[in-house]
Amino acid sequence: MVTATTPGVSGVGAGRGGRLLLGLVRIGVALLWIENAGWKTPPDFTSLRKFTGYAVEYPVFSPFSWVVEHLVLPHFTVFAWMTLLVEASLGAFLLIGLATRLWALVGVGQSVAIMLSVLNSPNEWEWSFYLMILAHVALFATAAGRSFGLDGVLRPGWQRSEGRLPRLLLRLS
Amino acid sequence: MITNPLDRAALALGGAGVVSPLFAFSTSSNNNFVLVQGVSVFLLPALGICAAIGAFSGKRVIVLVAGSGFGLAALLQLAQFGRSTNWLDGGGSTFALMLGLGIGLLMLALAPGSRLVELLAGDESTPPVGDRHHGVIATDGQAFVEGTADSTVQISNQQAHGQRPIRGQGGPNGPGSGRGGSMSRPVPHVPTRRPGRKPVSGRSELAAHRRHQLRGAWERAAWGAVAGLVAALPVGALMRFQRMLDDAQNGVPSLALFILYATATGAAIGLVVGYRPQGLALAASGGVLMGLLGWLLFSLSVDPVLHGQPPTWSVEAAAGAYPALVGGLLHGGVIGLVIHGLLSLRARSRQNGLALAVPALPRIVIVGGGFAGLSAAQRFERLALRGVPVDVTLISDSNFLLFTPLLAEVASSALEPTHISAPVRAAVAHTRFRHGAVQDIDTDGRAVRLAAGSEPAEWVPYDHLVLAVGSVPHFLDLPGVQEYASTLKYLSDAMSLREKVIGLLERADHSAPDPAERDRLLTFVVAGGGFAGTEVIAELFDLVHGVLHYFPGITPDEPRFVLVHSRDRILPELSAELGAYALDRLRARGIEFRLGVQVAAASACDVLLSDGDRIATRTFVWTAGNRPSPLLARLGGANAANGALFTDSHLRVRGLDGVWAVGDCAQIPDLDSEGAPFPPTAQHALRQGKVVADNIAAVIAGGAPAEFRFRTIGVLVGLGHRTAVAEIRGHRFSGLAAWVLWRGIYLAKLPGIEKRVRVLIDWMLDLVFPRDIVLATRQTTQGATPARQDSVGQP
Repeated sequence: MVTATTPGVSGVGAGRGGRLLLGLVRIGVALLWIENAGWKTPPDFTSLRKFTGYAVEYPVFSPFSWVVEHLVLPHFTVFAWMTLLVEASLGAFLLIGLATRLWALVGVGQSVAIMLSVLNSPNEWEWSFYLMILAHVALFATAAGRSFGLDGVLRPGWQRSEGRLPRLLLRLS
Repeated sequence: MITNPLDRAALALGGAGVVSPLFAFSTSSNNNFVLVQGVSVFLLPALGICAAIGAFSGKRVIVLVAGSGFGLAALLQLAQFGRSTNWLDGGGSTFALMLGLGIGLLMLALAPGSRLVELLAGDESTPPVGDRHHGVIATDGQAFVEGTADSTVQISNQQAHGQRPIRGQGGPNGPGSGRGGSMSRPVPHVPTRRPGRKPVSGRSELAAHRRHQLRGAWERAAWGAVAGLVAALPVGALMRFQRMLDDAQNGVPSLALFILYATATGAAIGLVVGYRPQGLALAASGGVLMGLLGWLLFSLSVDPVLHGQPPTWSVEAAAGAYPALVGGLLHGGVIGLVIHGLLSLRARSRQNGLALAVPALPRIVIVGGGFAGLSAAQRFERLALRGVPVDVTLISDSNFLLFTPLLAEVASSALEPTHISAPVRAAVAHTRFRHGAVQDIDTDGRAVRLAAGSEPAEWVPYDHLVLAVGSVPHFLDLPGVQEYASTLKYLSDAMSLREKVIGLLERADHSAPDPAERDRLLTFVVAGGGFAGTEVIAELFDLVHGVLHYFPGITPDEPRFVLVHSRDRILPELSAELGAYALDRLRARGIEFRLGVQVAAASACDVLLSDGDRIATRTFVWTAGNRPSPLLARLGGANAANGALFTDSHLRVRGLDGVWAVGDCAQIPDLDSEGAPFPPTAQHALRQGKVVADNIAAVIAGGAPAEFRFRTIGVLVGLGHRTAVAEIRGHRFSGLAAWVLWRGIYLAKLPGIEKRVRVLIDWMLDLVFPRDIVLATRQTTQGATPARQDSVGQP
């Protein structure tokens, strides 16, 4: 997406081809999240409510099911908007490669939450969740935003800056 | 060709917006990654084109507008999707896409160092000459003649290939020579004669830059309007011939309206795209993009209003305006080509002697590559990123920054020499660096005389001179001291001291057992009980006893260590308690202290003390005095008793206009201590370098410099044997805790992560392995020291 020049973590993307592939993986993961945000439609979030209910109907991890049943579902609208914003932000930030390491961690968390909701529900394939988690781990480990992402472009400026926000972004990228 | 990564990134994001309508062709209801339909089909590419124009032109404000547009669209989409009223016809995925593009473009527009950031911060004191290449200044004449930074690259390339500089007046020895580059692209200095031109006065120069840029923008807009008018005639005639223009709209002839539109479009293209050498395709494509944007704004938005109907931006409306799209693209492309032709002709005519006078930038010369000089240069680089136009040259006789607090550890073989030194060129990559020694300074003519290697000396002109030349060992004219004493000021000193000590151990191990000579070989005398002397005697002790197992011919009780200090206690900079603690710890190891006496003379084989005692030794280290560089004595400014330059609290040298001094060579009054001078430590030098850069920038901008105020953070002294003493903000530490603190703080202060890692590894290895005794230099059987046996007073 973005023509960055700063190499990523050493050992990864040493060549331009490698970095290009890394950028493609990041953008591909971003598009998956964007697509995922696309079917969460307010105000009732019907589909999301159905899949969230699976955490109770087909429990994977009982404490998580308890939380969903007693905390999430009673306040579902708030939870649904939060989910929409988090997943849209995951798509947005991973797409442009900004603060990628932070959003990769958020992606791991969101993937785990989805897995704990629907892993045991019918017609689900457990590998898909493991792959989602591992994809985000790979994005984190390789600092994928530095390859054809805004992190790679903006990090030199953040390194020169004395402000707290640039310093923070430096750590999150 | 866009060279700035920020602009390239903006172009990529804009391109994503332009191609995003491709999702509209998806026929799948399940796998449609992004929902793009209705108004979004037009809005996304329109904002994308806007971002691309910002990228091409380097105008961050256009990128900001595009990013804001995406952001507002995302908010609108978030508020409306799922409802009956959904202006953008999108969904959550549309929101995510717009959010990403909006945040990305805003981040690029507001990236640190952007001139836009300075303006938004209300900093009007800095001039609008920020370069979009790495965000730093461009000084090349052509860049200002045409007001485009891309031409800077072209000019630099021309100069690199030996072509004549385009700047009209810039001959090798003419005014402005020796300043042929921006900070982002240092170019070799052209040897200059002693200059005598009037110094650049900051405020007038900056105002001149502003006027110059404004004038360039107006000229580009005017030439663009002319090009638009020229292009409108054939394109308008063609459109009229093809019946694409109606007879009249609300009484206004369509052709006249088109010509008016074309002229305005031409002005916009001229302003945004401008002229770039060899940029014919870029000019044409920029014109095409502007034509597309004009079609969106005019044919789809303004034209329906002129016909008394609200704009719909629907597919039907776009299809109806398709002929106008063809005309707009054609017209934009032709305008781009015409503008390129007109402006290139104009540029050539200026090269032939009609060039405007290009305002010169203030020239800063920093002499000294130590903590203070390098800190100043780094600060200037940061200021340049914020739009302060200066031309900085750093001159130093060593091409690395030496981390002097760890020098004693190099002498004791605990650290590798290169691990405590960082290349200047790496530390200030965007500053012009000259490796050489300054021989003379002409404060009237404002130039320094530089000697670099075997090349003939040259004069480097300046408008502001920063002296950070540091200090040199001062031997107090004591007989024999300068000739026979080792010092610990430079990296080579530490390396040679290490070589000398190990060489003496080698000699003592196998030489004939002459008791007097063995005493001399195994006695190590250090003069000076300050930081350096105390650390050196402690490190020498650790070195010798740490490697003694390699030398079976030397028993552990043979080596003798003596520290000579003129006062009654060591480490006078610390509290009496810590000084006493250090004395006790070092004495407990067997180190002798001769307090209250001074070194009176030295020879190759002994040291004479002021009380008449004589210490036989082959190793005598002098740390008892430093003085500012002798270069300062020739300046004519006010010198302190020790030769340092008196400065005011703003770091300006008294009596010398345009000269500033920082670091060990300056006597700077501490206003919080009744004017007593600041101590010559690295922590002060670093802060002074930063402040002097800020003050010079302030003076250039017509502002007032700030006073230098700094409260000493603390002092740390290593005592070897994993002990140290430290006093930080009044808190005292000693022993192992202070040693951990000492190592941790110095590790953090080392320049660059690479050096930190290397030193950390050295220290970790030092915990496990004995110190290295490899002699790097070949030595004779007589050892490293002269074979003379003369004693002091015995010729």
